[in-house]
Amino acid sequence: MTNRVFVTGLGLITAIGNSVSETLTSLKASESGLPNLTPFETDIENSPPVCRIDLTNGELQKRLGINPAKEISRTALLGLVAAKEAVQATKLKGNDLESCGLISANSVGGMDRSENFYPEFLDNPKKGKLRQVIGHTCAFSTNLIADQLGLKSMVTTISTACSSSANAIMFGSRLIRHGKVDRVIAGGCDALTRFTVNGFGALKILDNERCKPFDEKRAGLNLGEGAGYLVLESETSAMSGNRKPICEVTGFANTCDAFHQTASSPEGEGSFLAMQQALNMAGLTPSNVDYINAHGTGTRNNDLSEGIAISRLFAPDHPPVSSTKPFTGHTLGAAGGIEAVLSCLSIRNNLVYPNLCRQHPMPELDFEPVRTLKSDRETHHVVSNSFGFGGNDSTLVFSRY
Amino acid sequence: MGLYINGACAISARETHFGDFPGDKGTDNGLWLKTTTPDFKQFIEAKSARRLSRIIKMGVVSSLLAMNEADAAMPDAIIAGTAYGCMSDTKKFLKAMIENDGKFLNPTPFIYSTHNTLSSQVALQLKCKGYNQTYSQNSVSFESALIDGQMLLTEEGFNTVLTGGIDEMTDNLYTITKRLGLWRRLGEGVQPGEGAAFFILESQQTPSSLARILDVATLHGAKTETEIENWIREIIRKHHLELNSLDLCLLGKNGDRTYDDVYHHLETGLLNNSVCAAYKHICGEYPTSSSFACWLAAKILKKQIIPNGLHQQRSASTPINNVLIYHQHRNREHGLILLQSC
Repeated sequence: MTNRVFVTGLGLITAIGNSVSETLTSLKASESGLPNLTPFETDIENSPPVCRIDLTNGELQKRLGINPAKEISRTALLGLVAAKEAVQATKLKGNDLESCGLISANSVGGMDRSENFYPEFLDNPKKGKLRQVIGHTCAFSTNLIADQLGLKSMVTTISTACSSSANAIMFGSRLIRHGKVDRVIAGGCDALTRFTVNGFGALKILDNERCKPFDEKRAGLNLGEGAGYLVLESETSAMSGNRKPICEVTGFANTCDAFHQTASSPEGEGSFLAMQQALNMAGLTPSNVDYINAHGTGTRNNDLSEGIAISRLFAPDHPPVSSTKPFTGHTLGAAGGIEAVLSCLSIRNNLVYPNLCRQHPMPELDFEPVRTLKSDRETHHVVSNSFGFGGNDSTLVFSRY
Repeated sequence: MGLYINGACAISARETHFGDFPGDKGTDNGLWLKTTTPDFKQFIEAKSARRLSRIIKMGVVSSLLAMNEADAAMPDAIIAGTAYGCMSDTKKFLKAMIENDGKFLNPTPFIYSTHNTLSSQVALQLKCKGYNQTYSQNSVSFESALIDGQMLLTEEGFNTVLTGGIDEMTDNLYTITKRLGLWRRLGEGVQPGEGAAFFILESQQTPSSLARILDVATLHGAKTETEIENWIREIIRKHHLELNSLDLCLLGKNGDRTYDDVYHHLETGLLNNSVCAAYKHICGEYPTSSSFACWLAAKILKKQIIPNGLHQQRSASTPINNVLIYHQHRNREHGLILLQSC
């Protein structure tokens, strides 16, 4: 009874581009495509560097045709930019768009606004501007996107920290496989907030320089912001609309490390199981995989645990592995969506992106990440990993159609 | 193959956690209906209990009690629905951040502030390495979780799914939502509330089965009364039922005149052959209160008794075979659950 799931539209906004094509151009430019790191003007000592999108909220609102004077969560605006691009690529409209589902993810809802509400409010509960807190829930950005696009059926939000939008794509794919919807927009968005920058700062996992995934001297992650969405369709829907699939979602799995609220287990059990189960669903063996877009945040803990899990599953013939986090920063609830789009682009363009900033090999690992852009072989199957707090480990598999 | 509720637990303001029908009077703190909780210490080690906020403890304990009832040892998936997530740890970290200007921050409340803290803490308690998911779509967060569970149980490797809805009221949340006018329109006898209701879902019927879930669905955005009627009619038809075979309809009425009209329209029209009743005056108004309604429906179907006090217009004849739950929040999110006796 399971339907195949096709990707027919892509949408992106990241620190290296305000659209899919801009982001891809930067990725292809390797070093010169890296974003400027700018200090996050907050109260943490040595304001940590972040990967920011170079548009103000007012500029985003203008671009979206929303009154620039309105105070709207940046998370919602970023989400709308990328979701709109994905839908426009498919030219979906009318009833087909109304009945299209939306599964959107984010980590902290409209925190970028509500954290401005709190200082006054904590001082005096009668104070604080309510318009700043009205979009606090995770569903706010999802509803804004749904309403702006005119979606009227299944709309929901997933919030599982840094694996959120991989889980949104998983749920969207499952809805199509089971015939619950014919088409769905799935992905996620997150803006930089003081809350998360301070939180990761307190955990002491922010690198003061550019992050160095899979490097022995890695010192933490760079936070980023952005959004990434896919339009997913059943075969019937894509064919009836004459939309050419970009690629296919062939496998996915979500497991729990069940080891610690924030740390990954040393043997990477959760991520190992997620990759293994996702490949099983896709009917693939590890040797079929042409590229792994790793979670690779640049923290001591993640890269070791994920690297060991990759070794356990793929040794001795590891496919090319890279983390694109130096380009985008770690965009938390948006990361899985953004990296899913990059994985689809890898298949469409036969590209393996470079794992930049890697100088010193990790002695614990028996593989090296790919350090330069590769376009010399076909990518048929791409694995995308997203891991989050709570031991949440999610893997998506994309395959050439 | 079906979708059976084989164990359930609701922590509410009506002492329902050990499976009794709601008591006559809710425990409230003068402002909202506050849950009466079981003794957490009996279920969670003191060391972890100290670290965990009240919402996490409510979620963990209601999950454990639902598992006990189903005699389930280890779920294959844990799926939570929560609109507000972990408000108290979020506020704790925000407050420290504002007061200390970001210096010397304790990361612990940040770590526990994410919406998926509950589902991962349940997984940690059980050492459950299976599927772990959290939905946060206001008043249809629980329905989203159920839809996921419903699909999983038809797939290989998923035999037991733990799922539920949970939201906690805190002082801050109450003050803010009150200022936002959320409670101003509540009708006589309906208060703001909170609660946790968790379920063990399995595809096989067992002696402990409470009820069978026939369907779950959600709709987004403003709908006309006719659109809602057609939606309900279509789902009923899909399961080869007649409208008059709906023995009980639990409706999400909260006394808000602006938005309750659709319920009155259904009661006097489409659903006028069924016994229509309400539940929000029992558990309080909160986004995942439909999980309480689902628990109530499952208990009613198991015990074949409709307790008094649900604002029902008349008494139902037995057997009670089919129960429909429908609720909407400000005509923006619509949720529907259809249950059957087993």
